[in-house]
Amino acid sequence: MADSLNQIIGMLDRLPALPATLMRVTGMLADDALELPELAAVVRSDEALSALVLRAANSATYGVPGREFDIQQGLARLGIRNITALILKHESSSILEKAGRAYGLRRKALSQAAIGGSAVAELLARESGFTSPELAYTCGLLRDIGKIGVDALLAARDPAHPFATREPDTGFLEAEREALGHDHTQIGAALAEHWDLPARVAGAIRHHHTPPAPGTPEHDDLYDIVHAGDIACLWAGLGIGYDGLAYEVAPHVTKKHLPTRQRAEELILAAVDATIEHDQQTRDQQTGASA
Amino acid sequence: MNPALETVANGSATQLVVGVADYKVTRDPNASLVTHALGSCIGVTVYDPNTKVGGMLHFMLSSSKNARAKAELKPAMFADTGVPLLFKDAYKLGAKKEDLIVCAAGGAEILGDCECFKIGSRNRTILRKLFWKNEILIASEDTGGTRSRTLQMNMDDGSVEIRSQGERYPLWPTA
Repeated sequence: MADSLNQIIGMLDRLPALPATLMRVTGMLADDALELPELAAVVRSDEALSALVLRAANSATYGVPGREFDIQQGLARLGIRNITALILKHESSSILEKAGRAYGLRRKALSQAAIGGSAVAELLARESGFTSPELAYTCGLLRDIGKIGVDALLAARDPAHPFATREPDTGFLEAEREALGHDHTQIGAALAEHWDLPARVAGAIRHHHTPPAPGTPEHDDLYDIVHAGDIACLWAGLGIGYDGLAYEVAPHVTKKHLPTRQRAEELILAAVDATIEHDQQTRDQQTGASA
Repeated sequence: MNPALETVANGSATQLVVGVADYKVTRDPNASLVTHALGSCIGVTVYDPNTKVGGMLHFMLSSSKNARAKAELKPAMFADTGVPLLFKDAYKLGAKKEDLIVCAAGGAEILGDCECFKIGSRNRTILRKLFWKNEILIASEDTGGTRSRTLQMNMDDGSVEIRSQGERYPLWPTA
């Protein structure tokens, strides 16, 4: 018989703790309280983040040849949007990079999908006039956090990979529910609540494959945007493993955000561009650090 | 030198990873070419058994018509700009068109895809058209469905293998 979600969360003692900085910045975003001085305080309180901001500000992407920025100048140069993205990518990568074993994913595949999906979610949020593109970005980044829970649950099981032999071309969420009693969206939302992440972030995680239709009490434009970002990643092959592309697109999201194939193609390119850009920035920062 | 062109490495076994929107061509018999997680994207392999020249492309979309600037920067993103590059670079290393063994994998669809997208199926159709126009036959292919696929080619004999959903099966030579 399937364990209750609370029992599952209780069993996940092998899970890494959610970084405190991630929780703090996500909370600031959801409360609409994201200001440069507060972000600067977060960065300054963490040695690794301070080094990250310094490297980014002096990298080929943001820097100026022949000029070196200190931390204060670096923070001003990068601005709220870039600092938030840097912090969230860095903090979420630390928990997502090694995740996805239960899905047959290689290292970093899930963090790449997080970066691709968050970029598309942010783009759609800006284009559609959504109030907080940064919140959409954050939810895109964290949408698959439930897969960390699935990894931990299956690590103790035999067979460890029940999804490898699933029936082809059937819905993957059903396969997860059959194997575990719950799918990764339900486990992710329960984890988000357990970690005290804001309610809309937990909602976006819960609904990123099945966003409620307009007119229903749970409908939220945020969930639609995060869902569209996820679909773009599936097409692009970001973060897909045993699940493949065995998920459906919500019809109302097709109508609103993916009305034509050309639009879908633009979002696929945006997802992949974000991962290529991220890889380049990482290389630039490493080069800067070793120079 | 063109970074996609690899000649002969140092004699030890090398795995050349072909990323998304990327291609590589080599004549190193100790090498293998691999591309991971093909969703709707398609992986194309070419191999000349006489010269042991081979290459692999991982393209994302069929046509560069609506994204000329991107195609300039990353021609391997699109079938119409990436496939000609793959073949031209294979010819540069000595491959002959008439001897090339061509395989394709990927082109999957989202579950229950409505007729408006068909990203994978369009990729497959345009690739076939491109080959048909240039009188190139596909020796073997594994496309469609909802699977994610990893494609690997060994350069010593041109054998091509798929890894998908925990299975591993040959694509070429066919059984």
